[in-house]
Amino acid sequence: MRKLSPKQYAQAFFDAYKETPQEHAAALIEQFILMLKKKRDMKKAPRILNALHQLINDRDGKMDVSAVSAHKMAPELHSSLAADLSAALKKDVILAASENPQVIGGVRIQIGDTLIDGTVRTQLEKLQSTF
Amino acid sequence: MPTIKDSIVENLKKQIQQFQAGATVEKVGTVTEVGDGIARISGLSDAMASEMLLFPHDVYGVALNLEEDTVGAMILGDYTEIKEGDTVKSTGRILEVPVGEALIGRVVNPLGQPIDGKGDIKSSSFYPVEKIAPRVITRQKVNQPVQTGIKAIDSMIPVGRGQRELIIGDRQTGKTAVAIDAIINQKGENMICIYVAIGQKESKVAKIVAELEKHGAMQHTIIVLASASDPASLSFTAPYAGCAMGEYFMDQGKDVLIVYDDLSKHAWAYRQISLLLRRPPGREAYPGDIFYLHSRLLERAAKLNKDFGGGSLTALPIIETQAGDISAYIPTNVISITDGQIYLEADLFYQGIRPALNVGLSVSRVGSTAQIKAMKKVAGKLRLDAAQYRELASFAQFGSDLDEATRKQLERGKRVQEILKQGQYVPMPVDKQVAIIYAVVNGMLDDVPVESIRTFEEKFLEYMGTTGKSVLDAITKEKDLTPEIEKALSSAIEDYKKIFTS
Repeated sequence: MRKLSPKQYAQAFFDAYKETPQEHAAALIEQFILMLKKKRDMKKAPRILNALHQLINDRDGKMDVSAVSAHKMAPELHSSLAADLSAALKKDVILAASENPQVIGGVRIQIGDTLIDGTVRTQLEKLQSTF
Repeated sequence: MPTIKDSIVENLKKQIQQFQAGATVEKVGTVTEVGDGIARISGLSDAMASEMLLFPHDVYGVALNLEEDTVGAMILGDYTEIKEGDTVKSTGRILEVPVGEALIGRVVNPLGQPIDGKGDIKSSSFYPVEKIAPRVITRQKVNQPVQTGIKAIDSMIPVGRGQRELIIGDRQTGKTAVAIDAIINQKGENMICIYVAIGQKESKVAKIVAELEKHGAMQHTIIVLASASDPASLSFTAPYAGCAMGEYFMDQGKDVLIVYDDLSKHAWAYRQISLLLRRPPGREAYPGDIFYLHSRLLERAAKLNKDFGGGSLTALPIIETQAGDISAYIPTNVISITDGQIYLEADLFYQGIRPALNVGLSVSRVGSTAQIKAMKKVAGKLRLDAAQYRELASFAQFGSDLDEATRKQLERGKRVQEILKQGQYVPMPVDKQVAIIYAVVNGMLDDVPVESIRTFEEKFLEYMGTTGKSVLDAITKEKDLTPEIEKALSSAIEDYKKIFTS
């Protein structure tokens, strides 16, 4: 039989969950995990979880965005960045900020496959490559 | 007074001031698997087929497999520095190579970077490595010859400009020698030559470069080298890169001769990449699109018509057979794509017939229309004599008493075979070829002993180069054997025979 991709598992579970009444939800989850075990696909679980997260975000019109800066962002900056991104992407942005002193300054934002790089480090590297 | 130091600092300052800082928007993916020259990348959802990808440390790759949530890519260069989890950027560009006059006389790798230590190549234009072949309306039939300078080929298996002529044979039968002689003979013919070495030993390529330099043939030659120690991805790219460099000159209305040495190793490289990318294997474990791999490459050879510049790209692909088996997968594929083949045989080679050309199995399907008239007139008889000799020689081994006609035929055949022998790196101009072939097919050498045919040929051509110069010039000028030229030629041969026998 053809192997299923994590995305397909997630979609199937998501659809099944929608149609199941609240009281059977726990049973459904248990059954899903048993099925994964039977199909020997437990190692795909983390990726299925990611895909499921994506599906839920899509349903709620939300979007995960990660931002990396050199120092911890001030709360006002964090919320204004999130607001700007929400306006630009027309989605409710959940901004996960992290710090990495190696970027020196500026911010690097990753939205899915798209990388918006405004860090000082990348700019310095670019300047270096022009010589 | 400003010193050099000052001006450097000034320049630096200017460059730093001019530098535009700003955020960049890029599409990225993550390496999930890497090894053996290929990588699997998750993300990169809008990568294009055969798009260039940028790995860390400035290593480029090419996206080959586009799957649901991964991209399979081959890595052009050192893959040992790439690790799982590395970020890969898409560039939005198809793989391309620098083209132009600056490449002539250089040895480059399949990415167009110089590897001969003669400094940077300054080239402003780029051509995509994969390009659709010229369409029907831009083409024209072959009408001009490529003079290889090899008597047996120019007379019996002529190659035209824009033709694809396969050179096929076992290892050590002189395939590369034929191609290199053809390149050397293009000196002064206004033809740009490209030699693409695919999976070749670097020592062999170094020897070829030295030989070409010795004969002054590097001035019109580009060498594209993917050596045996380079990754398979470079071997796979090499012929396409060489072809792109040639197409530039073709588009300028120039004539180009390109040698792919050899396409069996190219097929191996592609098989390796395909199997690593988990494409299903087919016959001899080659992937299903192996035919298309070679047909799309060889279709790019063309003769363009006047409206499109009139340039041409002649391809001489080489295939190495295993134990003379031309019915294996890759040889049959390439034979069916090309416009004829030059078949070299190990047996003939060891008999001392060099070039070891099998006249019976070698053909040129389109080249004869491009032959000059003078050559056409003598070559018809030559082909007949050679064919009859082959038939009789095997038959005559059994019987000792033969009738007069058969004996004569055999004697003629032996002389024809002697005349078709030729040393390496001594290509011969077409007028001299016509003169000597005219002599043998008209029975004028029948009374010269077989053993002294080669010395006769050598001395005779020397004589023609001095005393008989006017006859050769007339052949070159008229490109035909008019009755007058024919008369002058035969009397020159008779004259020389008197000198030779005395």
